[in-house]
Amino acid sequence: MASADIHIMDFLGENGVDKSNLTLNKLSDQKFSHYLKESTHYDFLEHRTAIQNLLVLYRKDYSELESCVVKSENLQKDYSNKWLKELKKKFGEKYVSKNFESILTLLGNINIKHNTTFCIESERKILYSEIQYLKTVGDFCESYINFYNSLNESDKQLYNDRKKYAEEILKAASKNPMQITLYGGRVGHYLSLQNRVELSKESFDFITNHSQFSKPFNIMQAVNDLMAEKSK
Amino acid sequence: MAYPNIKSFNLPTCCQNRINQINKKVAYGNALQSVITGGVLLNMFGPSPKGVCTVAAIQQTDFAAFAQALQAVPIITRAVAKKECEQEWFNHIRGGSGQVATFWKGMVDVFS
Repeated sequence: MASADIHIMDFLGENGVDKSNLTLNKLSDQKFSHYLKESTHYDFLEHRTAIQNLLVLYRKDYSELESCVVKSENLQKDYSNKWLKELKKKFGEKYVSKNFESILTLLGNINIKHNTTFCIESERKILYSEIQYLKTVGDFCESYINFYNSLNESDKQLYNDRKKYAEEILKAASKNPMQITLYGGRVGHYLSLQNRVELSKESFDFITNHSQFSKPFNIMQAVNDLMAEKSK
Repeated sequence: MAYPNIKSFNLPTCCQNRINQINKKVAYGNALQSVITGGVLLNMFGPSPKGVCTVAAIQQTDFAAFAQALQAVPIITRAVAKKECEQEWFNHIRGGSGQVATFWKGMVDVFS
């Protein structure tokens, strides 16, 4: 039974059907339930229900983040180079090529800002619900391992396979996939790049307040448009 | 999708780190709701002396194959990976590293 077969959203199976080889359902046992009640105040079914509820929240928050991500990607398709035409009209034809580096840096900063903030509420929610869900699953599995360790040697023989299930699930639950996925590396560094932008306040405000950049935009297209302007 | 053809090139450390980061995200993304087991990781690095990382020539068909293999990666993971590739493209466009930037443009398209 490989860890690769365990999927964090499948710990309880779906609609009563076990999709994975390893689910918490396999740990259901009267003796263990009694142990759980004694040590945690809640029996097996109550633990299972708690985990189920947390999984529902986790899935809901995951879907919400997914919707936000799709929305962000769709907004990027709305890109047009109108901002560049208007910039040249307002500040002169040569302005872009003279201030290319600063404008490029500013576009990069605005892009990173959108990347890090557009879905931030959804990201916060999923990170929180992930902690709650996976930690609860992990604690449950640790309880099972403690239960196993409390058994006499002959009983341990009977529970050995299920103890291994618990260890495999515990290992999977110790990952924090959304934490890994959403960590953006050095996104905080973009704040320091503001110092590299040497534009007049007027042109700086013009770009940052332009409707094109009030939402996620196609950074590659914007940069290509800017570079085409520079090479004229 | 018009993927680029790229001759063999040296991959800077920043790019190696970025690829490792993307691989990790793909692997963890697959831990959530797997359609594929084990995940599909990007194996870009060729054998080379320590500190120098050479990527073998990448053809259009290679990029297309990556895109096909990564199709099952969850939406959120794909979007995050795409943003990482965009950021590297941006960094190398600024730095004037044409070939490396082209590589990252290809990778953006792979995750699109």
